Amino acid sequence: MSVYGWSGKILRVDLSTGRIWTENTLEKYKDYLGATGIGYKVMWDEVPVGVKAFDPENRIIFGGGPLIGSGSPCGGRVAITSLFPTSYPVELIGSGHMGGHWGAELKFAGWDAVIIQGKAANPVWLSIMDDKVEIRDARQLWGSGIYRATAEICAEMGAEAQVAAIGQAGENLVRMACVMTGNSHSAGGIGGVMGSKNLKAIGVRGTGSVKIKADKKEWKELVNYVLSLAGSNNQWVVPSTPQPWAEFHASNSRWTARKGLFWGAANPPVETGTCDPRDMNSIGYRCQKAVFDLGPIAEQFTVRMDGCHSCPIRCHMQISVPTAEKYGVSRYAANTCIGWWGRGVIKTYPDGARGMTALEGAVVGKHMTDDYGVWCNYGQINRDFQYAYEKGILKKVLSEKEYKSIPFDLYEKGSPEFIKDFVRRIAFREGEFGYALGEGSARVAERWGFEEDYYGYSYNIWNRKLGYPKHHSTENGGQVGALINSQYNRDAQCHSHVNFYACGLPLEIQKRLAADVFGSGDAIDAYRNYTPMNVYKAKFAKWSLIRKELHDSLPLCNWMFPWIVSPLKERGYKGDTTIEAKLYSAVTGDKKSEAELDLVAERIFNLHRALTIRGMGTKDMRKEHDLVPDWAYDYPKDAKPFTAGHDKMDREDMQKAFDMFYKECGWDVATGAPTKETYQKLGLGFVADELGKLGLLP
Amino acid sequence: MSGEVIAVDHKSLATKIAERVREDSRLTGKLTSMEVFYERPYSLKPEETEDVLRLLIEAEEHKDINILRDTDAGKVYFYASPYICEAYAKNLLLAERNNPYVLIAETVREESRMYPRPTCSMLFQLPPYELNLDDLPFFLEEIRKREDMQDIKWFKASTDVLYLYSERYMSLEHAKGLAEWVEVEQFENQ
Repeated sequence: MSVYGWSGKILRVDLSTGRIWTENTLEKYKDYLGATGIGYKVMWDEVPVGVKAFDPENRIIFGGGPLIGSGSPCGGRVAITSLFPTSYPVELIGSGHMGGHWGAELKFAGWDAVIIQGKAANPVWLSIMDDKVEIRDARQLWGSGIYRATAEICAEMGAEAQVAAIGQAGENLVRMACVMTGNSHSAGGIGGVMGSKNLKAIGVRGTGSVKIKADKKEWKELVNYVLSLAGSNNQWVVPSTPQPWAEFHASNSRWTARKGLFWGAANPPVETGTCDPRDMNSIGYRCQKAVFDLGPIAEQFTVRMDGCHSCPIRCHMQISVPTAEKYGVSRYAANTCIGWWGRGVIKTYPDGARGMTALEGAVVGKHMTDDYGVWCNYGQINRDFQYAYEKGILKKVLSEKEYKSIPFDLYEKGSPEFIKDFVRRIAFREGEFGYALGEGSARVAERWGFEEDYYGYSYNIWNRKLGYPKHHSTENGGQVGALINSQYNRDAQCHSHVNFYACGLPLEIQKRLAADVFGSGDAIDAYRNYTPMNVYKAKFAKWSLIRKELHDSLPLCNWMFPWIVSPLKERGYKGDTTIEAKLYSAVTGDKKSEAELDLVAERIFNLHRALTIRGMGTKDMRKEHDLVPDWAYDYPKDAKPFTAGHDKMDREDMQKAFDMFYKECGWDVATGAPTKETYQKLGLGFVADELGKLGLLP
Repeated sequence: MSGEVIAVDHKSLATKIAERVREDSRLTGKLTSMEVFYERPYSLKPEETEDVLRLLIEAEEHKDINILRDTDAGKVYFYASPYICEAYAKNLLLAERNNPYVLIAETVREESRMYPRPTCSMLFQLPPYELNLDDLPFFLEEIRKREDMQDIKWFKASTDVLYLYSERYMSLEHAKGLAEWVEVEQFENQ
């Protein structure tokens, strides 16, 4: 029987025994789609409570899903699911997400996912050449950075191979370590899990393809339809400057293309132009991301825009900054968004945050963090360091010798040279400084005795127990962002709400479109002018979360989808929230409506919830897990909730928000735990049975 | 375009005008003034104007051609959709009137009302406004004096960038909060 979308096979590897075997994807995991869905199911079935992130019994699951490699627009992302090393005090379920081409290559090799367990006796790497899978000796690679490991493996497997590798940070079991593919696409937080298994890298070369059920004409029409509704990165559907074709504009839009804006270091320079949305051949020019991320100065250093497999948006930039070479790094650098976090190690640059030194810092930081494989916890590692330094804590917790060995004079001068020292210490766990900062925010805060002000607005911590920062929280939708930020065991990697909230359209249009999806325009407020909680916001929050899980499992890029909006005036700027179902149905032949696919996503989301409940050993998520930081209610000090100009929430109103959200989710309002009936409705009766035995059902 | 005169009937002239408008809109993003068509090679006569305009308005094949009338100045302009949209054309017309005070005030009001958001002063150096920002202090001083523009206010964000808003549609606190988001905080929330 032909299988469409999926390859039909999952690769299993036990590094302790060297056993390699195959599982049938659809027999076991079809109800979970792929990627995080498969990852959560494996973790539920196979990793008992008490296992820690770095134990051999832990699993690490790499994969895309039925859409990866199919050519679905924005369908190139991979999730890596495991116990998350930075979560504290218990290492709970989490996923890192990376773009690039690795996941598509894995599918071309004939695999939907790779599940790794055990621990190799010596450092190894995994070679996947279509059906030929080998555990290879990696002792010659151990101790080297990601760049060299990637190059060496490609030298063996061929230039077309895609490599997911860890650097020295992962090898050294730094909790703040990442997995990297293509030298610039990172999956945060789980590099140490690979290191704990003595697994340096997974190299993949595939010569197959993905079968698509829809006929060619139908598929082409669907893809063109999807492209016709695309905006720019984060589904900004208006340009950043006034343009003749555009009814609206917004200066903070990621649709930065305009007449006179160039990829300035291309030879010859390439002008982005105005990119009328009806011209699908210019989609890739819309997002000149270098000027957005790094400032106008970056235009002249932009070689081109780049991106993940099958992505028309191209938010990943390639830059060439010759003066960065004075710091001993390559001038050539690629990344996007928080991937440039290394520059943020320095708080103040001599010529400003968007000046030339900061740009050089971005290049230096990128090379250090992407080669050593250090993760940033959404920039929190920088704030942790800066807090400890500014408050004089480092002087107390470090020996005098260690303190003097750290070139704080370079930090004070705003020299990118400091970044090199900073990242190296963490990657190699050098001294107390490197060890503690590499442990993650919750652990370093406890170890170094951070005081209450660390949990204030300035330092961004959202969940003080688990040690993760805000990520599109109250600043993106008030209560909606707050609810979303309360649900994961790491920073919320959810952009479903942002892709609507920050689309650039006038509020009146957003409210009209919100009413179509959530039943009322009251689901959305004006930026920084929030209204009290209502049920439509609860629906918005739930929908955002289950779409995030859907996107991570299909996969489709959650930095783009879902699309409530489009750039087309003739559609009243309406997007299409059924795109996911259309693509899934066309690729797999398993016809599912939007509602049916959302139900699958809700199953996946609830399985994540159940894993968290089981991992924490409590059903009282409301009190123990779903936290909102005090600063969300207390900052700014003199502002009143529901007045204009700030994101301040109201404590009582937020409790009402949780009540409504839990009800929408079918969860017990008192505890925030899914009810037995909800689990059963979602096909998770076996989860309810186990949680019932553990006393973890409400 | 050569200086050769196009000797044609009104219908053909309307077609030629439409073609020129489309080309201008597509390539320059600017309005095409009626005055262009009184010159060679079109050589439209004033007494023919209304008839040609009627033909342009009524012809199905020219429904992409839009006409803007500046009644105060007695001028007529054209633009072609979708190369230029109505909102942009309206701002082009405001810019054509060479009245920066009205241009600024109307733009600020519209942004404060519609999005809502304060307007970054840097906007006014871009097309279709194309004001010299060095002149902005003079414009603001005039606006400050104008009775009909008392709702227009301004402030500086922490980055020293000037923002304007209409207090008819938003408060200073809201405007400041949004400006700070755009200038500083959005980059901390990627």
